[in-house]
Amino acid sequence: MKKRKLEKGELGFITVLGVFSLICLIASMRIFVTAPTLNGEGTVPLITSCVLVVMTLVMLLETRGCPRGFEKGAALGQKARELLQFLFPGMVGPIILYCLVYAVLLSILGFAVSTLIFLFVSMITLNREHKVRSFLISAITLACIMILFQFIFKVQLP
Amino acid sequence: MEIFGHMLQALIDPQLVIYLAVGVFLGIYIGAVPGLSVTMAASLLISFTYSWDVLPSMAAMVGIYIGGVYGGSRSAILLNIPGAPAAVATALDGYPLAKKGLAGQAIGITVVQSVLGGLIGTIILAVGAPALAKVALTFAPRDYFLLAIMGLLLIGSLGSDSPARGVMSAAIGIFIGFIGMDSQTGHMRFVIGPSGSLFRTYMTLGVSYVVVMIGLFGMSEALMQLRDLSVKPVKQKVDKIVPGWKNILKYLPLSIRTSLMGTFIGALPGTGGDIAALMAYDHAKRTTKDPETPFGEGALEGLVACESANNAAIGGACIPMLTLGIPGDAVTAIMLGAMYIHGLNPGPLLMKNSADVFWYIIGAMFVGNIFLLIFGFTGIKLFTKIVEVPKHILMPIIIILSVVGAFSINNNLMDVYWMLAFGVLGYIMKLYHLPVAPTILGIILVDLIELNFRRAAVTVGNSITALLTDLVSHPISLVLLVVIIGMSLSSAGVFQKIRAKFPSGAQAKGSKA
Repeated sequence: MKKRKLEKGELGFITVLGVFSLICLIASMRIFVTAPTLNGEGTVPLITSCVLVVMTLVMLLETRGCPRGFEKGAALGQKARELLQFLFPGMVGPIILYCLVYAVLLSILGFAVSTLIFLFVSMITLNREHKVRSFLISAITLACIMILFQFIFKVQLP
Repeated sequence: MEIFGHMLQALIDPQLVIYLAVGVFLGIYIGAVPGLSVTMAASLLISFTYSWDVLPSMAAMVGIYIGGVYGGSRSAILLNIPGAPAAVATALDGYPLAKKGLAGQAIGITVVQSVLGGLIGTIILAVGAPALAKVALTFAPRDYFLLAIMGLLLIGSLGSDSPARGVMSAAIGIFIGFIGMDSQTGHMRFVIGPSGSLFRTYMTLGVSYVVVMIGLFGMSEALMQLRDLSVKPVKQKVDKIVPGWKNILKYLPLSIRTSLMGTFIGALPGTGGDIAALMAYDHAKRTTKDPETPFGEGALEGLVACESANNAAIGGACIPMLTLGIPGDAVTAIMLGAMYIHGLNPGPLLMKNSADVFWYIIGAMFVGNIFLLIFGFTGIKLFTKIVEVPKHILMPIIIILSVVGAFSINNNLMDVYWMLAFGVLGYIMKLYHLPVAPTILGIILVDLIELNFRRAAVTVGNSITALLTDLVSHPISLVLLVVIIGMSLSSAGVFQKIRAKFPSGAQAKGSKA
């Protein structure tokens, strides 16, 4: 890997991957011991989880000598704020939140109403001007999707 | 002469020509819409064709197949959402081209390369179907396993400067592929959640790789785009859509090589256009010295390789279907079903008992590719306008299309939740320079790897020593093994290090001067 400045939280991300790899390794071992043969259901997962662990270590080694993402000696609170700012800048956070609410609303309000709400709210969150135009675009988009998928191709919608 | 007569039917029978043309046209536009797959279109078509004659139904099927495989590239280039699994590799260089305002040029190249690949695949189907089918049949499980490992070695070259990150991403994909009931023993693997819950039930059946693909490519890209809303949409140049002869001839050697690769990989049962395209992309990346634009940033060679290979794989996939009755991929499995419905018996006797159908399908594939050349250039200006839509309108629409696409796979809301989760995961992976394409490759290849590894293990009595001896004592396995070792050394940069240590005479002189 070319030496570059690490992103904020990159070491933490690799650590999370390491923990995930270890969990996979333990889970694979538990499957492997139930049928410890070459063609058993745990053999390939065990090999794969070993690869995961080894690759995590290689990734950690690759970051040696790379300038860190956070300022040296920064307080934990400041690091957390900077990390959140890096992960969810601007409108990314609100849109992810809307997606989660939309996923819940789909089963309650159905596709048409929840999609119209999601499109309209997302569009005016991303651009506060032209509210009427955003509503019209949302309605037209919804109509096009429903006509194309539900009526022409008979694809079931959520 | 009789063979030509059957093939010519695809060109001279007006009714069949219309069915074929409509099939290609619909295939292009169905393939271009995320959530509408070629497999789905072909399966819907079966219900219409019950009452049709054999040849019209085959004409429509072949048309949808050819058009759909190409169509998947449009949304891959314009929205970074592969319309079909075969277009995963197309997104790697197609989307960066669209970001530079060159979507029209990219689509033009994909049309020509798809047609070239399609024609080469069809020629091989016509000339060497029986012989190629025999070679494909000699592949033992260990060879399929090695082939899948070869596929995994592509990861070092897919979108990351660190092979370790590529391997990590692929291993994550493989692990996602393990989730659910083991197809051989029925044992639950990595299934979590409260007993009887919807979550657990869903995990039992495994996660669809199309869900992962839509999440990691489409949804995550929409989130990435939202990081900076101040970037204005790029105005697309659509004045030079049709690539010139000079351009086509420049890439012809690569097109021919990757088309041959695509046909051969397509002919292996259980593989398909997706694996063929990824392998061809890797081949292009390894063999192209000094591309005008680096791979992953809009290299035309990347587009040429994967588009010629995935359409060539159509001809390849038809080889085992027509000569052995074994489907090469999901669409040929549906076509096989359609042939049974119409009283045909695909397999070694098809060429003898129903020669008219066999040769008509080959003729239809030739003519279908000519229709692709015509229809492939339609609607490009309209489609490229999509990329020029302001982000605050386009990104919510992409999210909705991703939701509809994920739901349409099994009509299950759980797929939508998983797609959203993979969208966020893909977004974080991209932020930390972990490429997402290998994860998809891992999920696609997991069955090929595991099933064949276990089959190979059974054949040698579960002995590691016997398995290793088996690998070096069979010619096909040995060749694959040598290729894999070569690819591994090349990925690790061993050759470059040796070259740097022992420069050739000319280079040494040059450096002294």
